[in-house]
Amino acid sequence: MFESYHPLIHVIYFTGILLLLLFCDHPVIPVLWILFSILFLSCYRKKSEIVKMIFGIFLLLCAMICVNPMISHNGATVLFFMNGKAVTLEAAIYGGYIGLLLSSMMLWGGCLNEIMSSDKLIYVSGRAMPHLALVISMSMRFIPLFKRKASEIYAYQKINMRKSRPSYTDKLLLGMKTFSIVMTWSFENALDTADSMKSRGYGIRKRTFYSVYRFTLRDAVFLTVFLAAGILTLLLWKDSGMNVAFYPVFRWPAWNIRSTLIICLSGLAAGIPWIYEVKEKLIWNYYRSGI
Amino acid sequence: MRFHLTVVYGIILAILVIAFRQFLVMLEKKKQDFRLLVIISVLTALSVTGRLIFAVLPGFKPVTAVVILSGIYFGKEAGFLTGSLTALISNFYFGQGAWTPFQMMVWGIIGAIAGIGSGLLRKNRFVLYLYSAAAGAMYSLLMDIYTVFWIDGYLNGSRYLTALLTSLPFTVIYAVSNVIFMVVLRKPVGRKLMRVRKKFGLESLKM
Repeated sequence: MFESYHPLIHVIYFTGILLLLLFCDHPVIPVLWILFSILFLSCYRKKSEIVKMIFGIFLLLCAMICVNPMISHNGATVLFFMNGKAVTLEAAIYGGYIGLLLSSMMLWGGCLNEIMSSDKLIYVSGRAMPHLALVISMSMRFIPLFKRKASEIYAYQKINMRKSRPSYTDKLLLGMKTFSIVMTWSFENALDTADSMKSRGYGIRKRTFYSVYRFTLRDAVFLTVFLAAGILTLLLWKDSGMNVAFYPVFRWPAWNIRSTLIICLSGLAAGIPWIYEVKEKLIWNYYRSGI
Repeated sequence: MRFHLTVVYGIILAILVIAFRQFLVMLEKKKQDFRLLVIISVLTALSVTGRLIFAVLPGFKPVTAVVILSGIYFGKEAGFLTGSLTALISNFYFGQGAWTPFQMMVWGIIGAIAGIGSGLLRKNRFVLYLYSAAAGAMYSLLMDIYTVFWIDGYLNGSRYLTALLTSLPFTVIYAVSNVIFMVVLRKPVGRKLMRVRKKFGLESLKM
């Protein structure tokens, strides 16, 4: 669902989430993002993968909680002494917080990989930097071409070797030879490409693009809601005292209307794709139950 | 608190965008021709394919060798673009993430330096081997900055040292594998690239 939006929306959404995670020092933000991204990914991936992922996050959290007190000895609340050095509660809490951040970053990358395909990147960069888009799209096209050509040439060369059972060195030499042939061939091929581009008038005038993406009303609605929620969060966050202090003593920031509002807004910003997903599912179920 | 990280990312992204704009436009202007763009995409595709083929051996990839060679034979702009685009495109296969801009930067710098010192690197092969080993170490050193940054947004000296020590085996593998690839690829690939320069009519390009 979310992947069918305009690529610009994806870029803005993922950048915005990154900014929220980077600017706001409060465990609620990564926790919210982890919850949403797991729900979001569960629409795309198998159940077993999701379970594995949750287990991985749990392990990472445990590891960070255990490891950080060993490295860092700051903090006022001493739990016990090990090798004459204090192991503090604050360091353990901070380790847990870093674990949360790390896993939320990993999930951010996972969601990005699910949504952002290379053609979207080419589309987005093509407006601002057409040369870059050209180079990227050409190399994306060359990669499968080279791989196919390499396997063809490898097969020919293997037959030409006239050995029923090639040794390891034979195979290595064969690989080198194949790489060399593919390289020569690819440059020849590229020369042809360049010449035919030139003969068709590339670079004479500004080019027009064709793309399947269209900025529609739902994109506009999404963008407005996301930007409003995100910017309000960042504005409200500024000198709200929401940033958690870990050292010397861990202290929760005061819980008031403002902080509740901030958390709701950031949750809204992070959760919009998922809210859309659920809305569509509900509508689908509603119609299906009507049949 | 993690404001520093944002600043660093902003700077890196700004440099990448400016470099892409400048280099690509410059390359097209300089030659009145887009052939160099085609060559850059071929080189990028070749090094990405190399990274894909050697993905089974961790740390053992021909990317740096190809990037250095393209910097030497087609100039610093081409080296930078090949390096950073290889990072960007191969991460579509290996997984994009917050490390992508860092990787783009690091490989781009490796290619650009090779382009700047191309005369020396082409004449003296031992300097070339030394540079390939140094590039492997540089990759590790600079990527460890990213690792330390991501822990809590600060560049902590002692943590950086720890990260360096834990990644030492990989640093050694990078350096050694780069030299091996360079020894194997230097002559045949260099000859081919020289031929491409001639055939594509790029001889006026500074080398």
